[in-house]
Formats: sequence, C-alpha cells, structure tokens
Amino acid sequence: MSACNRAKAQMPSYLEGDLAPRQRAELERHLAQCARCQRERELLEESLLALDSCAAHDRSSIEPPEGMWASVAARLEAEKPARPRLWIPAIALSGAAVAALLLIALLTATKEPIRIAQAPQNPAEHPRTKQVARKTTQGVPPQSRAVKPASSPETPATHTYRPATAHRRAGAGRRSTALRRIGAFHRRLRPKARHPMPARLSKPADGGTPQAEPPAVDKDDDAAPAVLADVRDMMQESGGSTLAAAGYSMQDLNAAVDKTLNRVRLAAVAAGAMAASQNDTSGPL
Amino acid sequence: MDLLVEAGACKRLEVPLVTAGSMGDEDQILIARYKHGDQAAFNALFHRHYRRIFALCYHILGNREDAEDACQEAFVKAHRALKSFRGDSRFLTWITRIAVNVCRSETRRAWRKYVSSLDDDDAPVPVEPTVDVPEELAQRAERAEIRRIISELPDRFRLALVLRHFQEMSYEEIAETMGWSIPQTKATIFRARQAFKERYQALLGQENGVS
Repeated sequence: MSACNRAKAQMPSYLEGDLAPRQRAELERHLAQCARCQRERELLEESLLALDSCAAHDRSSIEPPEGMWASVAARLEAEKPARPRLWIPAIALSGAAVAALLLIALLTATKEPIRIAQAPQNPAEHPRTKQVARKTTQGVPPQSRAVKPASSPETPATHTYRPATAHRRAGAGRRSTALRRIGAFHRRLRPKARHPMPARLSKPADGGTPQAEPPAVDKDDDAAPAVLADVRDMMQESGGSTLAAAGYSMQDLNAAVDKTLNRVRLAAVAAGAMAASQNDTSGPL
Repeated sequence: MDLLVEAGACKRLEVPLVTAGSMGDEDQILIARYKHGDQAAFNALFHRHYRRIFALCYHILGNREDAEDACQEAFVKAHRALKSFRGDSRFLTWITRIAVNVCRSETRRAWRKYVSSLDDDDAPVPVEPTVDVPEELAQRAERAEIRRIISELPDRFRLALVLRHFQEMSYEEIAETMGWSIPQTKATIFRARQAFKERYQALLGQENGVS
C-alpha cells in the first residue's frame, strides 16, 4: 500500500482522534509532505464539520410531538384485550348457533303437526312404516308386495323430515286418545295377567290368621273393550296394510283381541269371587 | 445528546433520573419490573428513550409525521417483545434496532418529503448571487442541502451516517444495531463519509462557480 492510500484509509480515524500515537505521527509527517493528501484531509474535515453541525442543530431542535405517550398507550391498551376478545366472538357465535337451532326446532315442532294433519292419513306414507315395509318385503316375490299401497296422485312423492313428536301428534283426536288408552290399559293389564291371583297375605291388626288380599279391581278395566275396538278400527281404516307389513292379518288381530278380552274377563271374575268370599268370612260373628 | 428523560415523568413514576453511566442499569431494572407485572415500568422506559428514537426515525425518514408513526410502531413492537428480551444487548441498542427496521420498511419517499418539508424554517432559500445573504439564512440553506445529500445516499451509507453523526453511536453500538462486524462498520462509515464528502464538495463547487 502506498503512503497516500495508507493516509486515506487512516484519515477518518485521524480526524476522530482514534489513531494510535505512532500512526498519527507518521500520518502527520506524510500530510506535511503531500499537498494532495493534505487537500483531501481539508475537504473531508470540512464535510464532516458541516455534517456534525447539521446533526447538532437537529439534535437540539427536534422535539417529539406532544402526547406521544398517549398515542402509544392507546395502542398498547387496544392490543391488551385482543386475546381475550377472541373468545367473545366465539362465545357469541356459539350462543347464536344454539339459539338458531332452538328456534328452528321450535318452529319445526309447531308447524309440522299442521302439515301432517293436512297430509293424507295413510300409514303407508309414514316413514317408519315404509322402513318396516322395506325390511319385510326384502326377499319377498314382487307379486306378494301388492299389499303396499300405490301412491295416489294426491299423495306427495317426497317425504319431508318429521320429528317424532310430530308423529305422535299426527293422529290428534281419536287416534291419540286411543293410544293413550292402550298405554294405560297395558300398564294395568300386564301384572295382572302374570299374577291374576296374587297370594299376598296381610296380617290382621288383631293378630288373627293372615288373609289373602283380593286383587285390586281396576275400574279402567271396563275400558279394555273400547280400547281394543279402537285399535281394530284403526287397523281397518288403514286397510290392514300396517298389519300386513308386520306380517299379520286381521284374523290374527281378532284372535289376539279375543284372547285378551277373555283374560280380562277371567281376571274380573276371579276378583269378584275373591271379594265375595272375603265378604262371607268377615261378616259379623 | 442531553438526558432524554422528562423530569416530571420520572418523578411521577418514581423512576430515578438517567445518567449516561446508569442508563443500562436503570433500563435493566425497569425491564425486570415490567416482567414482574409493573406496567408503569414500560412508561418509564418510553420516556427515557423516546426522544432519541424519535430523532433517529426523523433523520432516517426525514419528516415528522412518518417519524412519529415509526417511533410509535417501534415502541409498540418493543412492548410486544419485551417479555422475551433476554438482555444480551442494551435496551437502547435493542430499541434502536427495532426502530431502524421499522424505518427500513419505509421507502425513500419519506426522505424526499424530508428535503422539502423538514423544518419549514430550514427550507432551501433561493440565493441571489448579487445580494448578501444573512448568515442564518445561509446556514439554513446549507443544512437543507446536507439533508438532501444524505437522502440521496444509499441506504447503508445513510443509516451509517445517521447512527454515527446524528445519534452519536459508537462503532460497537452501530455494529450491534445493524448486525455488522466492527471492521465492516468502520468500512461502511468510511465509505459513507467519502460519498458524502464528494457530493458536498460538488455542491460547494457549484456554489463557488455560481458566485
């Protein structure tokens, strides 16, 4: 490296006073001998002085705007609840979704009975009946499926979703009454059919011989024939298709009704006989 | 640069006044307080350094509006990252690096505005050669020209000159802020000064030629 190039490289450090004493002395000796490098030093020194003068002026004159912290604090405050806020829309959306679902369910539940009541009362159109029909007709020759009613022109070809509650309400009036009566009847009939003569013994208060209690006579048993008659009528209205779809005939239904009625009659007779015998033994002695 | 803390703000926050020697230590204490949940500690950090950071943004971007936005952005970013600040470097170096990066994302258009709108009282004054110009007006015009020259330098040179001459940072601080090595920092500053000198001397030559 020539002396001039070395002097040029050391010039900034020289002007800042960062040059080592020995190097500083060498550079000053070269500047004293080289007019070109001396001129270069003067120009650089002049430029840096102007630059520092400008910088000093700016440092003393530049003032940040008033209320800068307020702006920063507002931004920080706006960022602070950003994370918790993420949950708020999620909760709101979830709540809205639940509310929308409830509203849809409510509207569906309140509107469907009207639509179903206006629909043809053909059990074959009941989705569940159709399911059963599909199951039972699997493997059956096509000619034996004639039981399945042909869809009439008035019957809509498509089936809309109907909730279970709507189906229960579909036979409003006589049908629902019949179903309630059937349910009540079965609840009462079942235990009595298993134990027509319960052998429950009660010990008298006076310490006498325990007596068998007569079976409670259910007043609603009188409704059994009416219930069965309702069931039979419903089946007949449906043209026997429901029974056929389940693999039964009207004869099967009649036989079942007769058997059930016989059981009821037997139970009533037994209860009456038990009551009569108790009246005889508990008479005045 | 003078102390950068508003005495009132520090008194209000019960933060001791900053001295050059205690700057790093006080910053570390405030950072520790902030990490332990003292939100006012960040307020104190802001008031200790915002003047310097604003001036830095001002000299890099060249106008007050952009400088204010950049300064705010720098402190907001610092606030976001302060909990993960490990203290490997001084807070001032760290926030300066953030501010430089924020300013770097801006384009040089900001500096163009700097030339024309910075300090309305420093706007270039048309000089009539035959008329004696008052000294103050001449200095104002010269400062405006110096800023224009800086604005026309390459980004590295401009940043090097701003950090070294306007922010009065040491070579080590500049190296740490910019991610340069010390020799690279010295070489960049050297070349930046040379580039500035050539443009400045050319300007002086034009003026001498005109006059």
